[in-house]
Amino acid sequence: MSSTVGLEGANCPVVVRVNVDTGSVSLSVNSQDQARIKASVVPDPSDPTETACVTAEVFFPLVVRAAESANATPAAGAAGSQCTDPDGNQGITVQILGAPEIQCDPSMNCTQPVISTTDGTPPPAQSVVVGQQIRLTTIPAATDLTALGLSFSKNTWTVDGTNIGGYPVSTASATVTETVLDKPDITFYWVYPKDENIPVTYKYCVDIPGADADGKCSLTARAAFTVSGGGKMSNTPYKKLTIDQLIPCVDGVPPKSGGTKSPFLVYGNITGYGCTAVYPGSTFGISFQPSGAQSGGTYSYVQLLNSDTRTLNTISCTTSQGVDLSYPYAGIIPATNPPQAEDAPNFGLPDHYVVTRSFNATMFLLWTSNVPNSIPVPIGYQTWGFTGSAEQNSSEKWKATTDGTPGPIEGFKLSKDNQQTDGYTTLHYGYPIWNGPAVETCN
Amino acid sequence: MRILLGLLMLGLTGIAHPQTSQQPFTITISTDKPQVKSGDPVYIETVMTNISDHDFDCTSYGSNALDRNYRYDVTDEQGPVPKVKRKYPEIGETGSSFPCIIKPGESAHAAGGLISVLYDFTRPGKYTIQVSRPVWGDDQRPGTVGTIQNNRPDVKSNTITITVVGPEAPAAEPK
Repeated sequence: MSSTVGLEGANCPVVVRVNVDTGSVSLSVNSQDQARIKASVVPDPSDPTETACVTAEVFFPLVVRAAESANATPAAGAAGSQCTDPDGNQGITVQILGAPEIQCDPSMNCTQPVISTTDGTPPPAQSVVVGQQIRLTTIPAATDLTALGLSFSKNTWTVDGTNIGGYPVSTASATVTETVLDKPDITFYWVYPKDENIPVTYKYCVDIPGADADGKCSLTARAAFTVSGGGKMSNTPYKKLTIDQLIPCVDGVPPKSGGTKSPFLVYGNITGYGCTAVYPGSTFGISFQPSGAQSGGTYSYVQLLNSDTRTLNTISCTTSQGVDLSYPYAGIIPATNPPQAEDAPNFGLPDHYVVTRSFNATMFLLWTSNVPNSIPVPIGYQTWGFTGSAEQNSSEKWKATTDGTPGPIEGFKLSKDNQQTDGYTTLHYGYPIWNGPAVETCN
Repeated sequence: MRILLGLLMLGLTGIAHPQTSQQPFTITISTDKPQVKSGDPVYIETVMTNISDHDFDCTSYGSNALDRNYRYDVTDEQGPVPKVKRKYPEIGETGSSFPCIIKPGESAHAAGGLISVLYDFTRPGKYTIQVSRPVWGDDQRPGTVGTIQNNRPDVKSNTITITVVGPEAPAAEPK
């Protein structure tokens, strides 16, 4: 397939042709000055990476440089090398960079394997959910170029919408990693839904000695996605601190027999043992109810302790900021679907002490799609707490006092990409992050 | 034949839990950092799996970064490692109870946590950790196995090894 352009130069007419083995290309030519012309070779979107032969019918000092169209360069290792087209015309070899294609990983169930366009037509939008792994590969692959004696010099992705490379999380730590945008393939996750299509683009460049910058890079492949998600969380707080009589545990577990009840200061009203509340039968200090997320996923929780201070006569105890016990949050009320979280902080009251406690935590609601390889995404958070005290009267009977209104502090906050703090700890794209669990120290 | 049998038994010891088929659940513990520097935090993960035909209680009690509804057995080359002495043992610690039920055949991530808050891992060497839990349920929760008052033996987990190196040595990458 060849393309021909005639040019009336200042000195003489010139006919420039370009010939490729596969597909088709277009050609434009303009006069740079009396001694030079510039030929621009533009491949069709379907044209593969290959070499082309550019010829000029009237030869004068012709230098074929990288095309302004950014898609043709002097062939690798053969810049300016001679070639012969099928008509026997002598010319110069140039490198055609095939239009890239963005392909969906099969696990994503896209509408078709190739989801991108390069000719300006709108790409078919792919429907995904928040937290779903978006794994895209591209053509040409590095091996395709290697077979032609070429290699990538640069790979450039652009991904709109709030996206991350991952959320490595454990009890020990939680961080957010950024999306890697400079590799031939890409894996990332959208964190938040968006009403309109979210564009993704990709192009690549090849380092060819002698070619100018434009000529080293491919056309831009464009794909589009719609991202769905959502949800919210409500809470049910108990109204006060309570003195509950619980059976103390022995060596961390309930005694195998007997046991004498002793007083605990509890946010809520629980029965059972000092190390295990009976449920049903106990009322937690606060419980959290999720709703609104689409089907095909599961809720989970993370609770971060912001502060927890106790005084027991002259002893003062403080708790470091961190995740509450473990990730994910373990306090899920049995037989709730969707799962509801609860907390009823408590501690045993030692005789002859006057105690105070001020507790502040933030409960985060997350959602994880059932699509394989998905990660949890934050839906929102609720800060809550309580402050109160307890002391014995003259007959050694304990009485609890609740300061203010325990439970939620302000309202439920939807997670957002620009949230850098919940007012207590650092957030990253709305994700809770931490460096270890909260630990109490007494002095 | 005797040699072959011996080899087979040797091969099994690496994965076997010291539990019998009569026990209603198994406990599997793990750590993502089998080697830590002296003074670094030591975490364990615990997973309970219900191998009975009843619902089972997997309640955890989170207190100071560790699930206290397990008994922890930590030893080093010199024997049992004593617990960290609390400055004010008379005042007790704060905590929260997290009721939990596992259905037959299912597993629950039952917390675990920061075991170095309870045991001192600062001395370089190899530490073995095993956890156990009594077979207990709740009389007020029909369908759970056993009660707190039963006399069944505790269920023991597998044993893991943590290597603590001096602060100057490079810590191993997580598995």
